[in-house]
Amino acid sequence: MTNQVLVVGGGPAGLTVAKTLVDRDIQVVLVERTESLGGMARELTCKGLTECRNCGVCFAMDRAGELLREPGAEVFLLSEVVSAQRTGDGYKVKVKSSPRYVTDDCTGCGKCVEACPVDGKAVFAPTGSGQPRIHWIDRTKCLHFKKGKCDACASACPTKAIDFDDRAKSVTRDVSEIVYATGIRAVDACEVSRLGCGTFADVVSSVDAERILNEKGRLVRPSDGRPPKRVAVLQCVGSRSVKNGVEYCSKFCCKYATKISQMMIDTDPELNLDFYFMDLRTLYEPQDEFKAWAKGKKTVRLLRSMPAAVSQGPDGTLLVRAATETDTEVQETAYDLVILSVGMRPHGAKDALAGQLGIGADSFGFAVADRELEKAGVFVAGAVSEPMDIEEAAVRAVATGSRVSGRRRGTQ
Amino acid sequence: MSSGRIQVVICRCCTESPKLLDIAKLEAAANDAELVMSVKVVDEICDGKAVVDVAREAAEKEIDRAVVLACHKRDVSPALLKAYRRAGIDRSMVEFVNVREEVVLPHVDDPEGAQKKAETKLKAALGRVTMLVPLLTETEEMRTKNVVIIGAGVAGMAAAEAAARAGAHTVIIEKSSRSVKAPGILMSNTRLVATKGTPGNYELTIMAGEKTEELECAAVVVATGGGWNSLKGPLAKASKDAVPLYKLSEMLQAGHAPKGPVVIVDTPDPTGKSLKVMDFAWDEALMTAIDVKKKHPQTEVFMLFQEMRAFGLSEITYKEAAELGIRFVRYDRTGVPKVDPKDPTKMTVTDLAQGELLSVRLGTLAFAAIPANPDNRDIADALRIPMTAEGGLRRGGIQRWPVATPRPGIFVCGSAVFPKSADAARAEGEAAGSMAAAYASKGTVEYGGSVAQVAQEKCSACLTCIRTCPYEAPYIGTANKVEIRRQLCQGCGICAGICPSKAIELLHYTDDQIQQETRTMLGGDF
Repeated sequence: MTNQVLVVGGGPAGLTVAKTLVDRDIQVVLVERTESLGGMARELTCKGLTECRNCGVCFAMDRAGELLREPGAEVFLLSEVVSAQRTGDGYKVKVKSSPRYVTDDCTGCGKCVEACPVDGKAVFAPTGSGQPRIHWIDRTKCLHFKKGKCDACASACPTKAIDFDDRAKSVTRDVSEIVYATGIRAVDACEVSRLGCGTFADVVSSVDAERILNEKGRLVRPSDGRPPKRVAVLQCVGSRSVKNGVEYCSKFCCKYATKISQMMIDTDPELNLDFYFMDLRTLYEPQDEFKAWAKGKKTVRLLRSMPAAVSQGPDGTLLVRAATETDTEVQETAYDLVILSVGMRPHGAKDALAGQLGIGADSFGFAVADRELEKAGVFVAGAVSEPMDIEEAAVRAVATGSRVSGRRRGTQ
Repeated sequence: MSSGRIQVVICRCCTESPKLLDIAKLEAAANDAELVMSVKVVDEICDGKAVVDVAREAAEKEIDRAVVLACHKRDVSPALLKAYRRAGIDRSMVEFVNVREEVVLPHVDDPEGAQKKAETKLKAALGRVTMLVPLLTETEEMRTKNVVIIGAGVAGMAAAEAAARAGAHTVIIEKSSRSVKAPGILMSNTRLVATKGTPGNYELTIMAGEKTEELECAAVVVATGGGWNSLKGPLAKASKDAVPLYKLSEMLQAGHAPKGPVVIVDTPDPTGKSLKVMDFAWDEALMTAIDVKKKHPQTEVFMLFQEMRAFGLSEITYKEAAELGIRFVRYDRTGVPKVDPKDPTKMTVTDLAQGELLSVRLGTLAFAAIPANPDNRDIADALRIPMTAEGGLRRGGIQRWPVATPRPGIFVCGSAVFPKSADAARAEGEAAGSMAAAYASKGTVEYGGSVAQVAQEKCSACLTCIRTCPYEAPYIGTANKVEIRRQLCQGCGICAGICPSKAIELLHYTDDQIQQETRTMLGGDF
């Protein structure tokens, strides 16, 4: 019998399952669709400035770094599982990897990106803080493949890491169990058209805000690169909304939005911050904790109201139109920056592979796998199964890992 | 006493990202310093290849200690430290300077100041690194493979099953007389009294009925749950028939009809003066309310709450409850629910959504609050693990694995930490059980590193350290002087600070090492 487990997805859940299994001497094949490991956590920022706020981002990224150095883990990037066939007690899986056109010699210096003449670039750094720090070339945009001549990146590369002869690869592996952890997608803030997303540069989604914080260390306005003086944070954008098909609560948004808010105030105690919300659902934190914190800060207001619209005032500031808490009147307040806290949708539960493995999807698209399916060796982990934050995804992934290794003990 | 061959690593990513620092100057400063044999400027030290490159040069130049200017340790250290170890450099001989958070971020608008600070910090680290000595670690065999689980509730049972599945010997101790089918041994009517021993070889003292027993184990999982039974407060006092939510749910399952109207209030002490509540059982409250309404459609159901925390898919349950006609009333501390002292079946509350005083008849009153388990205090004391302000058991922070505590081999899960749904508690139990089993199956424990050390000739055996240490690491040895149990020492340094004879030093943070660093920081080259 084969001693390998296939993990589909290199986000917090997939990485934690993989690491749990490797630690228990079980070989892992991890297949990740994108060019680097870390999933959603790649673009999120550490939210501790003066103290750790337990956001869990570093936990996920540490696992990513560890897994790449584990001899017991075989990691396929830019890859997809094209088929999984049941054979006796396990599965024969076929993994197809797209060429990266950059070898492991890449040091991540970014000179190739500077040299690339394509508008919008054809060679990219890994997403956010994704691991490994190796660049990749998009064949559909690269002039070398479109016109057959350009080698600007190759001549700029100090380590000769560009390899235009890289080819797609296909490998098969025999695995005994499959863990499906394809994760989530953030809701596009622009789906909610009334809040000015896409129209005004300084209306950003919370994912954009985290990306800016992760890259620059402090939050700045996209329009002029200056730190804002007045910020509005709007909760439940895209979540708890029948219109968007996201009727559930995305669970983690209150947690990260409150932590980003605290971090912004830590960075700039003078900052005026208004926090608009429907219900304050700070995950696994006493309900009064954030309220007490806000009460202690003179420049922070908590407003129980769902804003109706964001428009632009004559002086260029953003006007947030919202009912007061008692619903008796409507107010417009001016801000320099508006952050829309977006929720999540499950990703990949309806893919062909999920269907082949017998994984179902509920009406919201969350993956459903029962204990019968686990007996057959198919497990679902992470937020593709229900809304959860990084910490819960990690906890549940350790639990899944324990069931996977338990099944092996049972069958061997 | 300066000695050694130093390598300086400067990570460009952190220092140059806002184009703030002059790397060439830093590099020159490092090159000029005494004992520096190698200076490496890398683009990104979190990149695996940069690490390999740095370690290769360290090996070639026979480096024995290093200073790394990069972002926070958590971002760079695991890979780099591993590579250094292979090159023969112990982790204790590597000094990190957090340039990103300590230099770049606070000084984005002040390049000059940032440059000066970076150079000073580099100098201080160079001074300190020459004073370092490698820290020793030792190993000890575990005597058993036992995993003890405290509590036979949802989380505890899941932990026991997961641990047993992973090959550990499980012993569940449960304070009530509850009898459940469990793998391994189940001891009911049993409490944890005290703990001795060291990580991997804990010796628990337990009270089984009236009998005191000793129990050896490699790891402990705490799954004591929430404190449902300690619901006290003005509302509980005013209404004698009030019950915790789970009692109402049990009643429904047994087929009894609750007296209407049914009122579920989040807490018996809405002002929060006498009862500290961690959270309220939003999930169970909604499900119980729906259960009442479905089984007894004529019964009126009210839910009084300060914050409706229907996380995740519970939102759908919340919606269903509202559609079934359950009345949700949000209040705050200015208009809390009160029971009429003259008529204990009448409750008034200010409904914030309507902005008016609401009067409700009380048929059945149930509380959904989950206070911390009052047993947590004793358990935390016995196991020497920290607690949260609300009285829950505190985890070690997510940077460690999620269910771990600061004490190796002790894991916490379920509502003992923070109230959670049965499903989440089960998953946490499973995770904790599996991690405990993995810890127990290692067979050996490693200890040492940055621990306290006693200069016995200076010790006057005054017992101050013994009384102060939170981990019971110091003891009076055979020479009538204090010795340190290195397995227990957590390196907190309290004893070193408090010793009146200055006989104790914390390795890696000795007076010499700290003074050397601070002197440079303060600008003097003494």
